[in-house]
Formats: sequence, structure tokens, C-alpha cells
Amino acid sequence: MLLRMAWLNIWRNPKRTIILLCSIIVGLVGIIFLMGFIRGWFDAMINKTIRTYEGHMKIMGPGYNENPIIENHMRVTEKTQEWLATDPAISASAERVAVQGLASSAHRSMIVKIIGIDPANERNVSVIADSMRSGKFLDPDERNSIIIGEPLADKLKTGLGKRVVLMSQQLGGQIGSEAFKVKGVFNTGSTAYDEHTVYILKSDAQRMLEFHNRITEIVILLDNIGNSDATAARAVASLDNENLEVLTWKERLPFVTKSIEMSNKSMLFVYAVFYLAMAFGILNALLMSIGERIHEFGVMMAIGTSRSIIVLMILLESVCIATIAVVIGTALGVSLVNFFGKTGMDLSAFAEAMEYIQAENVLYLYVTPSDIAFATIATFLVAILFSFYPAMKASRMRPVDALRKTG
Amino acid sequence: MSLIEVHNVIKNYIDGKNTVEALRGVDIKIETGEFTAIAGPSGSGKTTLLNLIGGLDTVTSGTIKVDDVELSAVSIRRLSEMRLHKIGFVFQSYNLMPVLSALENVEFTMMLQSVPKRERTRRAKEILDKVGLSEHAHRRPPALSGGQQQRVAVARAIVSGPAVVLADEPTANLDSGTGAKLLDLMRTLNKTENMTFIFSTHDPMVMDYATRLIQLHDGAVRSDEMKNSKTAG
Repeated sequence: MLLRMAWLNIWRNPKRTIILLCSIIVGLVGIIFLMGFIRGWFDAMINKTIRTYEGHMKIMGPGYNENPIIENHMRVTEKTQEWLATDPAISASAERVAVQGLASSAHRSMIVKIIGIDPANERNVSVIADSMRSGKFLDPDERNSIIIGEPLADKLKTGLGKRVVLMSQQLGGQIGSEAFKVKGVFNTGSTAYDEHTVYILKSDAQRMLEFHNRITEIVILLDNIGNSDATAARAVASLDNENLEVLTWKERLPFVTKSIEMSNKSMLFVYAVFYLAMAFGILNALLMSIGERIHEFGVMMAIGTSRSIIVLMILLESVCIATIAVVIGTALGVSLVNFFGKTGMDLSAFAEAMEYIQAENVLYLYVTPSDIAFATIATFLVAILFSFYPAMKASRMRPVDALRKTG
Repeated sequence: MSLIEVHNVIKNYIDGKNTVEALRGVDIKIETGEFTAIAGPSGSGKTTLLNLIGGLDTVTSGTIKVDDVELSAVSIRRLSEMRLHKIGFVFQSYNLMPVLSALENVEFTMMLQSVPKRERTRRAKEILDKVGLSEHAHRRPPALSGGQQQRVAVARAIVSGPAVVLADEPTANLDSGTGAKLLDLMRTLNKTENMTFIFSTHDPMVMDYATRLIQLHDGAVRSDEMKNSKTAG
């Protein structure tokens, strides 16, 4: 009967209840949307970095991660190849030779990262092949061709068909140098990356550096980013005596994980502001509602209603409102997130900012069950906690004082 | 031992810097089965006395015992339980729960007493039938006339068999015909159930129905007389 009374009480002033419901629903939709946006943004940021260069995990020669010099190279053994071919989580892998060097045009020289690749394999692990702004991607049959980042091309004042000389330290300590013809210009959307990166054929890099069959890293793409840690653990176990380092994207990109961690913490403050606004709405509506019913509470107390029953009834009113708001707010919020999860949220208008935060221009929003649980439970908690004050206020009145108030 | 013993009760209210003496040493004893009217002009202390007997307010000095329990000596929780189990209230302006039907209003007190749903519905229907409202059991108060609402209020007050029903000017908002019907009803309950009723009133008709008339004036008992009721029920 109390629940029924609470339900009926909230509809005594439908306009006020609807306004209160709207404010909670809007707040909840905002929170769920924000959660979806943040997740989409983080994913876009991680995907961009992973798909540009890093992959989900890497296998490297000992010490190469800390000190990426040519001496810390690795060899691909049969055991390594077998593991790469058989592990169920691996969808693609590619060998690379990556060293620091100097790129010189007729006009200027720049320090760059020279990455030697197998074009066919690289297509499967990174977006470089799809990022060509002009010219073509590397062809395994075209020796001494090079693709360079667009901003680098601008700085070197070079372009398609022109000559660029690369120079880097060879394995024996000598300086290796060869001339390359610009076959293509790429733009990944990350100026910082494009400004300092060139790609050549792995075989050209190995020859120029007198590297023979050595490489510096194997980049691996998994079927699911969530499998990174488990796959890395399997790699460590399988390649136990290969003297190699296995690193996941989280270990390789600590700034990304740290910024996600920091953003998550700062978002708690934003959520708190949302919930506080929601809480004051509830508090205001309940105080008004209770203020109008003081005489009625006096009657209830006069006929023997205990303080705890009055508190319970007011809390139930709040729970009823919260339940309606949570059902509608969650449905709307999740629908909105799912919509942008399918169509994508195009933020090309903010391309510069998106580049700055290393994220792709289109975000695909999503929320997890734990996000929804957090949003709904927090709404209920706020509704209940902020009902306590009006409830206690109503229950603490002396019956005779309450009865004197006109109903 | 009387059902209600009011001994030398003084009740003062503080109004700013002034102290208002609402009751000035009232002594009354009321026995089970009485049909008592407390009469007097506005400000004479009628409602104050009823509120004190009902445990809604506290005395400044003196004692009030209801069914041998001294009200000023018990906790707020115990007072609430006493009002639930031993005292029924009927107010001037009906004061029903507007969101509940007549039946639910009557059931409400029994719900507080943890009476099982089936049992309380049965008893509520029985009482509504007794006060002549069984046909309106599922109507909410706004759909009932003033007289019907006050009958529901009486039903709510008596449904759990209290030791005493306190009625604060129960006919004040009713026309004389409806008021007389209500008084007939309460007088009948008083006689058939031996239920004690105490009214505050300045309505001569209510005084006519009473078997005992206590006149208050300026917070003191001016007269206290047993009399014949207007109706024999």
C-alpha cells in the first residue's frame, strides 16, 4: 500500500513530476552519451596509434624497446614463424627494419625514421597503404623506391619522381647510404608522425644497412584488442629461449594508457557535476512536494504513522521517480550511443583538434554493461540519498505543528 | 481507574515575547463508554485539550493518563503506537489521504498495525458498510461529499477498535442535516460498541447529542455536567 501511495503521490502534481523526470532523464542521457563518447574517443585514439604504426603487440630484439639502435636487432627463427602462424589470436603480422637516419633532398636534410617493410604484409597491419596522398604505395619489385610523409616532403621540398638520399649507421658501424626515388607521399593525419617517417622496402633497408636477414621488430595485429595481454603471455611462453622481447601496445604506449587513466579520473568529476545538478533537482522537487503536504503528514502521524514509515514513503516516492527516469533515460541514452556507434560521429570539423589528440576523425561510440550499471546505480543512489533530508525533515515534525499548517 | 485522567493540566504557548495560557489547571476524568462534548468559544482551549489527550502535543505541567499510561512519560515512538492502537481521530476537515480510495483510507490504519491484507480489506468493507458507504468504497475523497468523507474518517478512526475516539469539531464543515446523521452514527457506535467519544465543539446540536458536557472558558473548566442525549439512538 505504501508503494501504491508513493506512486500516486508523485502524480499529484504531474507537471512538476514530469519536469523533474525530464531533468533526471536529460542528465542520465548526457552521462551515458558522455561515457560512450569517451570510450569512442579512447578507442579512436588507440586505434589510430595501433593502426598507424604500433600494432597490438610487437616482438623485438633484446634492448631494442629501450634503445632502438641497429645493434639490438633480432632474427626470425622457424620457431617464431611457427608461433606467428599458429596462434589463434593473431590476424596479421609484418617484419620491419626500423632505424634512425638522415633523409636529404637537393634542398635540405632531415632526421627521419627509416622503416623497411614488406609491402604485402604491411598492408595487413597498418594504414600506410591506405594513406597515400599522391603516387603509389611501395612495390616489392621496384627497388630503391621510397614513400615519405606529406609534411616531410614539403620540408625537403621534394615530391613524386624526385630523388632522396638516405643515410644511416650500418651494423658494422660504417655509414650506409643509398639514393631512392619518391614513389608516393602519404598522410596518416598525424603531422608529428608524417614529418619524420619514410618507408622503403625491407630488402633495400637490409642491404643498405648490411643487415642481411636481420630485422628490428615484428608488428602483430590481433583479432581483438582485448586479447593483447593473453597473446603476449603465450608469446613469452612459446618463445621462451629465443632471447626476444614481447611488448603489448599498453607497454609500448604508456602515454596513451596514462592519458586514458587521467581522463577517466577527470570524467568522474564531470559525472559528479551532472549528478549534483540532478540531486538538487530532486531535492528541490521533494522539498516543494513535502512543503505542500505538511498537514497531511500531521494527519498521518496523528493516526499513528511512525516516523520510519513516513521516511520510507518519501524514499519510495523518490525511488518511483528514479525508476521511471532510469528506464527512459537509459533507453534513450543507449539508443543515442548505439546510433552513433553504427553511423559514427563525424568530427572532421574538428580535424585539427582530433589530430592533436591522436584520434581518428570519426568516433564510434559505445558503452559497456558496467557503464550502464554505474549510471543507473548512481542515479538511484543520488535519488535516495538526496531524499533523506526532506524525508527526515517531514518525519521530525511534531504532529501538532504539522496539523496547524493548512493543507 | 478512569479511561482518561487529566490532572491539573497547564498548557502555555510562547508567542514571541508573550506567553499564552491555553489551559489553566484542567482536571477531568472520562470513563469508558462516555459520549462527551467539550464545548466553549474559540480560544477556550478545546482543541488544545484534545491534542494533549491524543498525545499530539505535550503539557507544560500536570499529567494526562490514557488507559493508565501517562503520556508525558513515554517516548515519541510509544506515543505513536498509542495513537495507532488506542486513539482514533476525526478532524474538522476530514483529512483523508486524497490519493487513496475510501476503502484504502480505512485500511491504512490496519496496514500500519500489520494486519494481513485480506483481513484488513474484509474489516474495512465491514466498517464502511456500517457507516453506510459500502457503495462508495472505491471512490477517492474528492469524489465524495463532505458528509461522506467525514463518515470515512469515522470509519478510519474506529476500524481498529480504539479505546477512545477524539473528534475535533466533526460537524463544523457539514450542513445541519448531514451533521445530525453523522452524530447519529457516532452515537449508535457509542451505544452498540461501548466506544468512548470525546468531541470538541461549539455547535449546539453536538452538545445536544452529548451525554456529558464540559464547558471550557479561557482555558479552565467552567462546568461539567452529565445530561440526557437528544437521541436514544
